[in-house]
Amino acid sequence: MKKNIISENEEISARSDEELVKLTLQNPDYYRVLVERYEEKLLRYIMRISASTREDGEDILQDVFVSAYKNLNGFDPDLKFSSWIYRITHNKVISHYRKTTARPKTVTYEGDNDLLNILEGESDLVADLEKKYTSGEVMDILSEMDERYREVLVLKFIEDKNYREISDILEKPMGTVATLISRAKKQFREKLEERSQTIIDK
Amino acid sequence: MSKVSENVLGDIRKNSIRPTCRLYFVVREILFWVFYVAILLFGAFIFAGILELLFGRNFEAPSLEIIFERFLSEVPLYWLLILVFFLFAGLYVNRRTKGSYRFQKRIILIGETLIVFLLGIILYFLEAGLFACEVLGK
Repeated sequence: MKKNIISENEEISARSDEELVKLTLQNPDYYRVLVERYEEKLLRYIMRISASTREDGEDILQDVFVSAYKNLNGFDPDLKFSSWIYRITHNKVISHYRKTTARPKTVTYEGDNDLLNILEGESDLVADLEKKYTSGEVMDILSEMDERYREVLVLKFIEDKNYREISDILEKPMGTVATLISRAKKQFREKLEERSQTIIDK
Repeated sequence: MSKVSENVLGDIRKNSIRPTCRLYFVVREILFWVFYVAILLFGAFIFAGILELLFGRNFEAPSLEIIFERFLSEVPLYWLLILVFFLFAGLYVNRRTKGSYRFQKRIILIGETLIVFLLGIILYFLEAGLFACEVLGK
């Protein structure tokens, strides 16, 4: 009996997101698997692109999952489920900050070393700077960046999304996504260089 | 079960939340497209009226100079403003349809301008331009 339940759980976990969407429409209990599959990723994403605390992030996340559930019949099978749920998250973060006050000007990366390690490791981005900056400095630079540039950097280098997926998440043409990524890298480099110049001047 | 999934499923059960029915999304998408086509047809109707004012019914091609003179003297400015308004309204509605975001706004605008011009020429030959002039008070 116990063995059957375990194998059934394993079987459900092995299902694709799209299959789970179909199953959820028949039985809401299957939605738990989708929620558990995405909650950590989406919570990190929310905290990376906004100035949310973990508690605020969880509130937004709950809103994301409820909204996704309501709109499950509107899920476009041409899209990946992950792109669709990231899009809902992106929109919820924006509307959350519209509701409260202004959108965040700076972002805290409490407990989030992945972003810094990956950006520091991104060879064509910082190779010329010989990795002489600390994580803290890279963190400061990211927090000074424009939100739209910060978000594409997060999606491209942290969430490891391709151009098509970023285009589907942000609802922008792929050409615009490519331009945004290129400008984001340029702004990141410029800010690193400014910082470097300031250190030399001192 | 994690705290978030517990809260989400609890919320769904407590408030008896159900997925919005598929028909709603299908009808909404169809309505956007119907609205979009209607906007383009209105734009084409106005363009047919403009062609009527420029060329009349004698189908003799006047010189570019005459066309330009007629354009300045005959075509009311508000007709052109309405035409531009319809093109931008079309862009606004088109952006709400599924997958439209994959195209640059300027591509959509150029595309719908070409469609409006083409449909306008067809309507002009179907004598809809005369009707447009009557309706728009010229």
